[in-house]
Amino acid sequence: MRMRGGRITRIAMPIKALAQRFAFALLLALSLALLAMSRADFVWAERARVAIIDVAEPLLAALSRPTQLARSAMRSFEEMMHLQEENQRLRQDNQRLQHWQQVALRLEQDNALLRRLLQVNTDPQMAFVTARVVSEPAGAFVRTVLVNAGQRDGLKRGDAVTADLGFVGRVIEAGQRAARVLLVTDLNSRIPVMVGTARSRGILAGDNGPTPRVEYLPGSAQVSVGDRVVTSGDGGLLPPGLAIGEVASVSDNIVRVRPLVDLARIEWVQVVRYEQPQPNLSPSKFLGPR
Amino acid sequence: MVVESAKLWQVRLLGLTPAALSLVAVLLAAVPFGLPFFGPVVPGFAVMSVFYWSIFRPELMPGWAAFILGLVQDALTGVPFGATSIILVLVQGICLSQRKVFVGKSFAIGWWGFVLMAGGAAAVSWAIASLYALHLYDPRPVVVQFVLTVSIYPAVAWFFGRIEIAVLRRAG
Repeated sequence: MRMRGGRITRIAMPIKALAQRFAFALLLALSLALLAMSRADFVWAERARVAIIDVAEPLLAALSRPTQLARSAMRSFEEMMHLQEENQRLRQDNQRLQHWQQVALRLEQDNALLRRLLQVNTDPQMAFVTARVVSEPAGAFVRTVLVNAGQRDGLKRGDAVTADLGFVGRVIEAGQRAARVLLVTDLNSRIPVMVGTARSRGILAGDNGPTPRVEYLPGSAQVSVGDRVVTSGDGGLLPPGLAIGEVASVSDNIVRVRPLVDLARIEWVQVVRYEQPQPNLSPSKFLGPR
Repeated sequence: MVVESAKLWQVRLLGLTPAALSLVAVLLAAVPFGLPFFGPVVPGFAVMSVFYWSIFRPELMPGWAAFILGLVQDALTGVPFGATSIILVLVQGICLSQRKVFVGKSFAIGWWGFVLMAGGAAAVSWAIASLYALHLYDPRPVVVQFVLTVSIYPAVAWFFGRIEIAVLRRAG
């Protein structure tokens, strides 16, 4: 018996090793093939990814609950420490904002009047979906987050995403219950923007660093540190006028922008469901009576 | 007979522990901790898990498990499909062929082996990402990630060791 067992082992061992080597080569080839197909934007590669994030979303949401509790506890502690300063700051803010409210009301009236005079109707149709961030921008090569809202909440690829103060990125993959957001800092992010009061047009390009840069600004553009950077809406994919950040530095024609939102610590986002306004171009209005 | 088949199922279920732990590791790496600067350098838990189990319980960490873990990590972190699979399949394959060097040796030798393996994995992942995007990525986050990963490894290996004794040895 023992002899036979030994012989079987002697024969089986090399076969097992061979099978292992074969499996190893096969899996490696399969991974490489997948990578090549992702590069070529195969549709089903994206479908498979989306299916995985849909399944993982409840798990991630459950796992992120304790860390979220810890974060909110830490934040309340920080707030307690600075209660008095905060109070004073809020009083000042309040005064300033009341002044701005008066200005805004007046401008709103003016605006409505002028719009009526010109008969323009270009207000974009915007609706918001609020979602929680369930995965961190993990890894050295990408700056993306997963949020717990998807197609069943009306999200689609290309939607703009904002977080309390400003624009943070765009939806690049939308599953049924989860979606991936490409942050403005990612290497692959390109957002049409306007800079400063002169509204110089450019493209905000991420480079995985904390401060993306504005490219393709016209040579004549006057840009200085502190200028506001907002989405321009060029190309019609994103609503215009969403605040992104401020110019952080200008040197050797390289304009860098500091986002308004701390992208490493986003907890909630609002996804903007934007319908491109239909231009009101009936010829009679523009050409007048013939 | 019934008792025997129940026992068999129990053993099979417990045998899934390494793969399940690795899956949890992949999920944990994606959970938002809200710590600034942590996201880009979050340690490679998946590499630790695949390394440990391929050496100490190779039959419970087959190549296809490493492959699937890689796909899940790719989907969750948003890197191109297959990028992490290549890394984990390589780690599993190399560990399997070199496991005799590590089994029954001191922990320091295992740790040294992990340093080499994680270093190789970091370099390969950087090369794949750079080739894929046709862009030379800043290698600093990868280096920091590597240092964090190898410094945490002893704690994770200790934890896996406890699991192995408590769950897997009992199951036989």
